[in-house]
Amino acid sequence: MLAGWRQLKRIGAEADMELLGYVLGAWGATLGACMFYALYLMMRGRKLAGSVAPNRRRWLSAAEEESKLNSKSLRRPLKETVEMSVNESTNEVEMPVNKPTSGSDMPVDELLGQVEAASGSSE
Amino acid sequence: MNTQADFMHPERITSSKATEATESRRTAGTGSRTSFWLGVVTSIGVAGLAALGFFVVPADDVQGDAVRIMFVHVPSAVGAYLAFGLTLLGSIMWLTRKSEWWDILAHSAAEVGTLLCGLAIVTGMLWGRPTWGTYWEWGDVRLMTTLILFLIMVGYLVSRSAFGTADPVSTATKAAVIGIAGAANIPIVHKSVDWWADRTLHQPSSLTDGKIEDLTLLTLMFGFLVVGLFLCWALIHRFRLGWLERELYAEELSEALHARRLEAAEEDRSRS
Repeated sequence: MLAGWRQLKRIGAEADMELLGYVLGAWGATLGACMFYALYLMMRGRKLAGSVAPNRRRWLSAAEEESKLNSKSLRRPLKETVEMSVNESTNEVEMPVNKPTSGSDMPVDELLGQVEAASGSSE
Repeated sequence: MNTQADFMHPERITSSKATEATESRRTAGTGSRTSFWLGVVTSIGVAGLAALGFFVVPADDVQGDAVRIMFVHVPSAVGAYLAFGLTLLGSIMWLTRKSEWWDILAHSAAEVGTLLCGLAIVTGMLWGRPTWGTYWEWGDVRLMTTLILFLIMVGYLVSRSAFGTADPVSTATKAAVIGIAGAANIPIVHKSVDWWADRTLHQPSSLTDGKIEDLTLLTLMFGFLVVGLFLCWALIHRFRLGWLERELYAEELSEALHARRLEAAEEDRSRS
């Protein structure tokens, strides 16, 4: 520590101040650019990760993934889904149009699949 | 998950929540436990390199204190070579296998490599002014070949954003061709000081000549290690960022398809 301080004093006392400016400039540019880039990567990563489900971020371990899924702040916005019911007496599919419902309901893909299956079986 | 036993001991819940919160901060965004610790080690390495470079290594007999610039200049240049080497590998693999993984790797490595190459140029200029008496010499083959390499890789990055995501396969293929052309310059840049020795101010490789010794050599080696760690950290995060961008694009596409299917279903319903 003391040797380091002596070295710093020597650089300050003996070195050409202009030369020291170049040295500090080179180190400052390198460290500054790397830190700026690292910050940019982390900020952008956080921003994008908010829109992608944790289970699609393959680098998270199972425990981390579960923790993310339980985290309220990272819950994804609810998707528009459609409720479907099958009238058992007539065997017809009843589907309300343009009715956004809660996220626990059936996704559209599954719904359309069931609609096709139901229409196939009724024929 | 809190168990019944946990509720009987509330301190357990608090401690588990605190651990979760800490873990969540570490792994937010593109972070993971590994990348977190890699970042910590890299930061310690940077501090160690600065301490060695400024306080321990004595001034050079010829270059004086300007030798301290070497500890960031040379590792940045070598880091850029490594990154562009990965771009070359990723581009070739994309062209042969059409794997997204390799394309994201090539893109990530090109971005990190361009940063390091730019830093090698800037720190080289700052070293050249007190040593050669000039920031830049247009007739110098090492400087010019490095500048050409840097500009080609900037072109690679610009082409990726200019071609956009409308046709990802075509964009990746065009970028891969540019990436291969850029990385093919690395041997020319490296050997330029030997091939055109009379047309450069830049000295030949001091490492292979054995002109650097003792503490200076040790610090330079440590610089390679630190830049290598930074390269790994940045590559991991940039790769994950690229992955997230693809996921988001796929999700938007899928949502647009859902919306269109709904519209089509509605149309069919109203017709019938």
